[in-house]
Amino acid sequence: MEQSIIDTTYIYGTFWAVIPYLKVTLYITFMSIVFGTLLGLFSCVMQMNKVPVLGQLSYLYVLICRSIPNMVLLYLVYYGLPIVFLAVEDSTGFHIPFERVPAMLIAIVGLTLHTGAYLSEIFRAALQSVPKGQMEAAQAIGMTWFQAFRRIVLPQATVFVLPLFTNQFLNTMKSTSIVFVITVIELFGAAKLYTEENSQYFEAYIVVACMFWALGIFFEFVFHRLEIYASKYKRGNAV
Amino acid sequence: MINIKNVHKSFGNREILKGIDLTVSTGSVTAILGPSGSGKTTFLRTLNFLEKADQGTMELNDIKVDLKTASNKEILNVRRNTSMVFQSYNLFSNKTVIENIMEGLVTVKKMNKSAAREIAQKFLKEVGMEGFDDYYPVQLSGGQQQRIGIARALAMDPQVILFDEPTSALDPELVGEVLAVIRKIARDLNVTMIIVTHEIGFAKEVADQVVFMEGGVIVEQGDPKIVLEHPKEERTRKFLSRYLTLEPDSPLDSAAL
Repeated sequence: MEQSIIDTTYIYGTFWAVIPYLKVTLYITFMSIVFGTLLGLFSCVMQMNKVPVLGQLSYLYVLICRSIPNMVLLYLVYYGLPIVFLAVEDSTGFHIPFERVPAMLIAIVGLTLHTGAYLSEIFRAALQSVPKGQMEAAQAIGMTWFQAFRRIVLPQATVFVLPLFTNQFLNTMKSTSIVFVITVIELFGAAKLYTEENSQYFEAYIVVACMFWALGIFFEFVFHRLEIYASKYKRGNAV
Repeated sequence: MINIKNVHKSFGNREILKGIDLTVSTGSVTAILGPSGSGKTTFLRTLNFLEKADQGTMELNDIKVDLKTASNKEILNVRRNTSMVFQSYNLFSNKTVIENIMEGLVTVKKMNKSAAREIAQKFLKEVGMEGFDDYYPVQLSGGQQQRIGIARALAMDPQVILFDEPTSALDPELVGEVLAVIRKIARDLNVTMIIVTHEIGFAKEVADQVVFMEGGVIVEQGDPKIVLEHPKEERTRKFLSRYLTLEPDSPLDSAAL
């Protein structure tokens, strides 16, 4: 019997085995991006406005979390969180049931810390790209800093941020494949488990690669549309 | 009546303003002239806290503030009663022309959109820009942008409008249209205005009071005819001669450019 180099039935098998874990990958990605965005925006605004203490802490956070490899950061959170909880219990007597903290949560915290640090710097560049006069003009008509920031500065910074944000989004999405090391099973983890029965690694990982590739194409398309929408003011209205 | 007293401001150890006093009566036009670096713009910016003064007080009708120690609430109150027209227009580039004018009415004055639109349209007409509602700033010339800037300032119904060199960034052929608009609102609307400018001819024609600043102090001030035609101070005379020799017979708008 002739055997082909690539086992297509095995590819189908892997595909159906990993597809239920697509939602895990997406869930971790979205949660990390949403919290990472909030954390990044907060850290960047604190630094740019030179808020005492919080500004310095934010700077330190970016400095540390940008330099630590993703996987090391994940391990640190995984093994460090229980120690922190124990220390809290020691000093306050309040018991936090860390043994019941799901690994999924730790994965999200780890990736959020990583994503937030990168986004913080991206947001800083974006906010600095908006001319100072925009904030001044808004404040001069009596808007509060927050109103001016939200209604005038942020929409303009968004146009600058979107290509870089897309990069970071894809980066975080791909980084989800390492959460397997702390026992969370997503696309990559599922494929790895599937291969354990018969070791056809190449076929299995081809499936994973194709799925990430498809996700990448899809989100690139979505963000590109967003960018066109957000930059409308730069092209002007047809009048 | 606006009463400004003893404004000081330094950047690092360079003293830019060395105690400026100025009184402006309601409905009048005050033009501030002076060479570059004399502190004109900085002085104007301290009045609505875009720069924080090191010392000084301001009475804006019933509002009394210390320009150095004002609380955020006081700053907001001053800003809500003053408007500013910027040298580089600073229209909100993510908003259309009509949205630029409506923005303050809706977010600051909490008007509903249709009322705000009505007011915005009225002032658009005032500056001769009716029909440009849905343009974005990027689609307009500098002169048109500045006229929208003026409409935006007017729409807020301020007690005073601060003009920071409104024509300095414009191409010479566009200066006239902006000056015409300012001239018109000075004549028709009776708004109090403080204008930092290099347009001597314009100042002579429109202003009720001219202030000549140099080196962070007011050198001379008073009636434009007197200050500009028969200056008492040597420094004023020297400054004016640079402009007057350029084109002695023609109107002086933009001669400085």
